[in-house]
Amino acid sequence: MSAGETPGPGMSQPWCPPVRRARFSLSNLSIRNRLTLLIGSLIFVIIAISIWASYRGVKDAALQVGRDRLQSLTQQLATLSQQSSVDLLNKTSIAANDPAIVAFLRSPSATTRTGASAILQPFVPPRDPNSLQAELWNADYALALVMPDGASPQPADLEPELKQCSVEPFKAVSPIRVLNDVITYTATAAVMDGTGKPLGYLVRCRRLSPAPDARKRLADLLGSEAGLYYGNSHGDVWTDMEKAVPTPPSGLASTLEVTHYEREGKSVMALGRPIIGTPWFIVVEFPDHVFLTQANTFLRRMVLIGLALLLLGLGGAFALSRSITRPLYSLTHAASVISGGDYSYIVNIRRTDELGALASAFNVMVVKARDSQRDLERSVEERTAQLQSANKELEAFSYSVSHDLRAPLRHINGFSQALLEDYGDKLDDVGKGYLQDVRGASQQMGHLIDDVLQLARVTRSEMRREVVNLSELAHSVVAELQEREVGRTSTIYIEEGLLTLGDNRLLRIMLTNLLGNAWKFSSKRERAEIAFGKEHKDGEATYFVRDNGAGFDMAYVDKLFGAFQRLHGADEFEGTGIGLATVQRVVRRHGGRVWAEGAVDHGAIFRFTIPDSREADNVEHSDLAG
Amino acid sequence: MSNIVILLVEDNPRDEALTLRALKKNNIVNDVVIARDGVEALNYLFGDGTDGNVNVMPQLVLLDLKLPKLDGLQVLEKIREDERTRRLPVVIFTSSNEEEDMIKSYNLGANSYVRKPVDFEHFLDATRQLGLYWLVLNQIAPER
Repeated sequence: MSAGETPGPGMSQPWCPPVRRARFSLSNLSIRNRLTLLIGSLIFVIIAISIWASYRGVKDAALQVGRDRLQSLTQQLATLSQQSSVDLLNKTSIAANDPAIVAFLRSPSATTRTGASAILQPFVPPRDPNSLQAELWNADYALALVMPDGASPQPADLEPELKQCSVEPFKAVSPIRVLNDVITYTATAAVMDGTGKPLGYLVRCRRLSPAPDARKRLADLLGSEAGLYYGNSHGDVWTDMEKAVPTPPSGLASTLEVTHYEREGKSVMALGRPIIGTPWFIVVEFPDHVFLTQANTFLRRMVLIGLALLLLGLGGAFALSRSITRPLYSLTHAASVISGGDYSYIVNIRRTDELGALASAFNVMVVKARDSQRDLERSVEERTAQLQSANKELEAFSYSVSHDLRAPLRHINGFSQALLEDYGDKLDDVGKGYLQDVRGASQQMGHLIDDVLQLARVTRSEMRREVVNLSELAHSVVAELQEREVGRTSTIYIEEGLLTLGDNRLLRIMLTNLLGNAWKFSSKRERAEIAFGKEHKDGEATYFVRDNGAGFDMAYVDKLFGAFQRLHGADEFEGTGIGLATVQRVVRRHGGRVWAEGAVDHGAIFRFTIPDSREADNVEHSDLAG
Repeated sequence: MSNIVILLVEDNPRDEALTLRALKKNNIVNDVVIARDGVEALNYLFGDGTDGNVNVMPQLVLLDLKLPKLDGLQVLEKIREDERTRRLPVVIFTSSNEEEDMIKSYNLGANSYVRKPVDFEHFLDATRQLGLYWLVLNQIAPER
């Protein structure tokens, strides 16, 4: 399975609903995807921060431009308005002090009235299209004359203005008023009597509306989206010069700072400035977007560029992480191929970086592993061949011993017997005894040869592991022993159901030797007692063969299992000294141990273990059986 | 009874002498034909009569394994291959108790495998039992 795959869910339990996919986690991702994600996020963050920062900068600069522009515009407009109001008041003042006006106010009559009307003619329509009417008031604040003829006097209470004009500088512009939906103001100048006292007042009532050419100039100056508002400093009337409008946020009139607020859902910036010499206040208002359009365009462009950079970066990151992980994949693949035994596989990564170094180190390692594998195989082959030839020689030797060594013994034995039978009368008893010794010796030699061959066979024969019933084997061995010496009285206990895993033939040889020994060394007891069974000691199953025979001195226990080692004289017990060596070899070939305890004349107990993977089962069985 | 022939295939003259002695001591008085190697044994069995005699088919073959020229197993193989001797009782009578020898012998169709005991008393006993069984008790297949 390659590193990129994830195991499918619930393959072993098709009847279950599919197991929920593993929760998403960075550690579930391959290095390639993780690296791409990491670099991508990094690029994203960097781009986002730089876009945000530069957008903020551009925006601030644009707003600053807007503020500067507002400052200069309001300055210009306020100055213009101030000049025109001064201009207006001067003209009004000049007209007010015309001798015809003065004469009319001193002595109102039809004649003087006509003269005054003529003076006032230029201040009323049609000569002054913005003018609503002109009025003359006397010093007692009574209306003396209204132009044009027949016009009703304007309804506002003019007294405060007239009073204002009764002192220096004897002229004033009124606050803006809305009269019958018309935005109006008045310019008032005192008519002086020559002694410094007002004789009356000339009040010009005008519409607050610039002439079309002035309007155009303003539009050129401000731009189409700007708003220009006039109002009274104390804020009761506000107008865009066509109609009344809502009052701008409070504070605008007092701060003289650029103020931001919302108008009709749009964010705007505005700056107000008083018009000196008048109670008026001028406000220029720009929607923010006028200035922010460029910043927003800049932002859009930056975002596009950022996205492109991000895509490029992701592609680059993917390519980079691929270039890192691809060699890793091919190393992984190589490792699995090589662990499959193909040492000829070479990782083909030509790079000068760390991964290249890793790959070449890997290749060197593979070559080394291959070489040492070959060396190992070669030496194993050589060793095997040596062992095989040694084994063959041993087999040939055994075969030859088996066939050729026994024949002369048979002849010695046979012809000695023949001598005894045919020429016995020519020999005395000593001579006959010698011949019996010859026969005995040949017999002993025969046993020795048989035992040595068996020992050799136990060592080199092939092991076949199967379930072996040791109890049955023991019964059969004991039956043979009893058959050989029918007269003996003995008590023999064999635990039933002792199963183990091993080579039946070898285990039989082992039991034959152990039980044979027990049988042999207890032969001088009145009643031989022999037991074969199993104990559990320290969690280990231990078999034992116990007898009540001659026993042995524990001082010589080390010699017990050596070949040709005997602890008893031949006159006491016959034997070749090979049996226990054979037992030990059988036990060792089964991976077990054998040891003995005994005391002279108090019997012996031989214990052995046969490691068995089915041990647990055995315990249960024997428990059930018991 | 004397026409009942035993074919003893044995290269060692001492073994031959001991075997003959044992047969005699057991009162087995049949004709014993000795073959000293495998070729002699086959010649006796399959002799074409060029020497003027067609040999009497033995009732029992006592066959040693280690023999000059053709060994016992090869002789046994030839005996079992030939129609005339396919059912001939052949007892392997040898020194060895090598497992390999026993298995091969039985695989090739030996009727018995008897190891020659070292002790002559046992040897006598073995010979007696062989004679009793194969020459007296055993019924051989009728020739057809």
